[in-house]
Amino acid sequence: MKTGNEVAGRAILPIAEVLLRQIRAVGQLGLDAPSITAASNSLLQRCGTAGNVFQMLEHIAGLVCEDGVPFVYNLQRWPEGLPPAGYTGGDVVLKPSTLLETYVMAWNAATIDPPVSGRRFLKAALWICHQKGLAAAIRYTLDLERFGFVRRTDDVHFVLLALITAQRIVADDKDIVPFFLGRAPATPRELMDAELAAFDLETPPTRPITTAAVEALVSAALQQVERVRNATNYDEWLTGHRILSTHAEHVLPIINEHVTKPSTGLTAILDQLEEIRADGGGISGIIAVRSTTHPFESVLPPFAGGISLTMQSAAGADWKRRAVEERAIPRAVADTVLARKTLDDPAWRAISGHLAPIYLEVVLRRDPRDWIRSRPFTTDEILASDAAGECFTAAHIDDSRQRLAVARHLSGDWRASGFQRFKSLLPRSPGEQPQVAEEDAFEADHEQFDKWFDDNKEFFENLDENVARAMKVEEIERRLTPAIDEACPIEERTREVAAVLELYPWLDVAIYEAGIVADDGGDHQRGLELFQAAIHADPSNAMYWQSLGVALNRGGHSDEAQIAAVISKMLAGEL
Amino acid sequence: MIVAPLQNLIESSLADRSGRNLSGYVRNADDLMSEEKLSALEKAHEGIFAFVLMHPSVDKAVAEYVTAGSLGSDAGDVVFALFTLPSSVATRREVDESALSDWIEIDRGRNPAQEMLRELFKDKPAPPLPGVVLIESFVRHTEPIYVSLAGATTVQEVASICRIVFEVATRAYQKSDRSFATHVGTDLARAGISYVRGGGRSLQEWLVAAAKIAYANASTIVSVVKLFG
Repeated sequence: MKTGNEVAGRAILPIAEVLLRQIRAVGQLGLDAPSITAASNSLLQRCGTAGNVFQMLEHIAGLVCEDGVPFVYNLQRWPEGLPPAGYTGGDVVLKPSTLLETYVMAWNAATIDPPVSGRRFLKAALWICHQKGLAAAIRYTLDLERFGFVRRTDDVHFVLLALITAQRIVADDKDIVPFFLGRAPATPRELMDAELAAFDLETPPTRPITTAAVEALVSAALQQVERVRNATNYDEWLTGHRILSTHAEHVLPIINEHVTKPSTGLTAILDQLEEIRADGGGISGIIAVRSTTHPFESVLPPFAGGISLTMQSAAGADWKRRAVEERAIPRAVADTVLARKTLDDPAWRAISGHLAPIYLEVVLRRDPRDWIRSRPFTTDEILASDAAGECFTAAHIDDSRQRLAVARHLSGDWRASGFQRFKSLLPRSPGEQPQVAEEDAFEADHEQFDKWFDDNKEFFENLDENVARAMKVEEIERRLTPAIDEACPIEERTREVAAVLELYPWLDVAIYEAGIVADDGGDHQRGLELFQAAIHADPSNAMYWQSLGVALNRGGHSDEAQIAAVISKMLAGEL
Repeated sequence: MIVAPLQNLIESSLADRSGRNLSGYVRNADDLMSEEKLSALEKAHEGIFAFVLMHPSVDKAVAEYVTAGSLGSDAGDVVFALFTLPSSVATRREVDESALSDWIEIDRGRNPAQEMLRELFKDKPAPPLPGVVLIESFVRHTEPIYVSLAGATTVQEVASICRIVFEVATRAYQKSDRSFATHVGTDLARAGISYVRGGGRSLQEWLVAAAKIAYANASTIVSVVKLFG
């Protein structure tokens, strides 16, 4: 985004940029996600706040979208004179609040039964086709997906397939638009109001797919491969790879269906995209497996580790170069992850605070207000917790052996103990005698508890949730109480709040309190950054904006402080 | 226009489609340009090769022609166009104006294209850069033909000469009554385009040398990917 002046450049413009990236990520990560609709409360709230912030900055600072952003019309409110489809730049200026509206309208169109979003995207692509040709329309359609406008991947597939099938049916590319609309639209309004004509995609083709169409499909996918390889952090890589594997989902079947004799070079590219598409499934699988234990941790190391194993056996000494060339491994950390070393750079170790709230809701399908801990409670922590003890008592689990088994079950150690059991079956060192009685007792005990857990699955799932929630409340209260107590020495407050942030790095309250402590300790810059981060996590909290205003004022940015104060009052319902 | 490293294309031509492309991996990079592998490439391609030699920051008109995107369509179905790109972009990708930007900064004093040309004309004075080398085969004993583009100062002039050269090469490939070089030479002379014949030899050795020169200069030999077989 760009502005006409610097009045909001210190903190609020960067927040607006993060909010737009978050909204874009809803579409990028939420492709086909059943649990996400534009009507989701937290998402609506986030969009609402973002809209208010954008409008304020548009009014005060002349905020507009940067050049090169694709857009698609909406029928609720579309500025007169703006084309129904295209990219920002030159005379085409789009306000972020309009872009936001069009995002929400496009997502909503996908939730209507039957969905109407595919028709809208097709009409938009036809506008581009009419203005700049079929190849441009193909690239534009894939760009809409890349920028998060699309909720249903079927919509993009439908548009691409319709365009290419029509190209093969009609005698000339200029006949594609009339094939769908009856005649080429003369004005934006005519396009937006047009009904699709009765078209028959089953009509026998009269000519092969054109080189330009194939090149547009393949180029878009290869450009996305390059973007993913050139990612500068984990957020970019993860969202980029999601889009890449979806692009591959569209491109592969369309080319396989419409190109009867692909060249050797094209076949090699299709093979590469096939592997990348499969990688997308692998990444989703790793995310699912780690979603409860390490929800935000980068899946890049295990993913790249798997690729390095495959490539080493397939490509011999040259495997590293091939891994980077063939797969979408980010160049910035390729040496580290392919060597299976630890990622030190925080930008690559985990999802950032910018993306975390969206990732939680869209990918992990969790409530964004959940207090997500960066790692599970250990058996010892559960046994030492008063809150967990109360949950056990309430569930009538009083026996110490039972409590130990349940604590091990909740912490995940029970699965590890299964592995220990497996280990006990491994060959022993020469001369070592198996301790039969001990093992038999262990087995008997385990079998008894396994049965107990299996027979009461629902009970233990509920207990797991209750214990975790109670322990989180206990832990956060215990640590944040001294942190927010101004009478406590600043060193203690800093230590406690740092401990909370380490365990709950995406919890807005913890981030906010860390900001207060930093500010009280004299580190106003850090305080300002943490208030911004708290707003990224929960932009609808008036208190966070108020504190941001105070921090800005303290830093001598009184004009921007006033904007933050107005947003705070607006969110508090005082305006 | 989509390009791929020559190595990728050689590997693709070796691949057994029934067992996915893993069988196409060349396990030893030194072995990449062996007679067997280049034969496989030539069999898969069924055409001739045109290697564009230029320095991206000196030969701007040629660089612009290469990145503008019409080289692939100008070359047609028979001519397999090769050129060099900086290694940082040497994966399968679309070529646009940014493709040579990393490479544009290379020292003007070091010119890999010049070194490649010297390798081609080892025993005689090398003609001026930029230009296009036409090669009928890397594995058979053939004679390369070099067409200098030094006189072309605009991208339109470069495109115009290249189109004639590719058309001439395509016609020559399709005739078998005389040698490829004789056909090309005669037709180029008729069209008033000056050229130099490189003398009969095996060009496999030259391609290996060219690949090493490219590697030493942080670049890679790439080819325009044809989409239809």
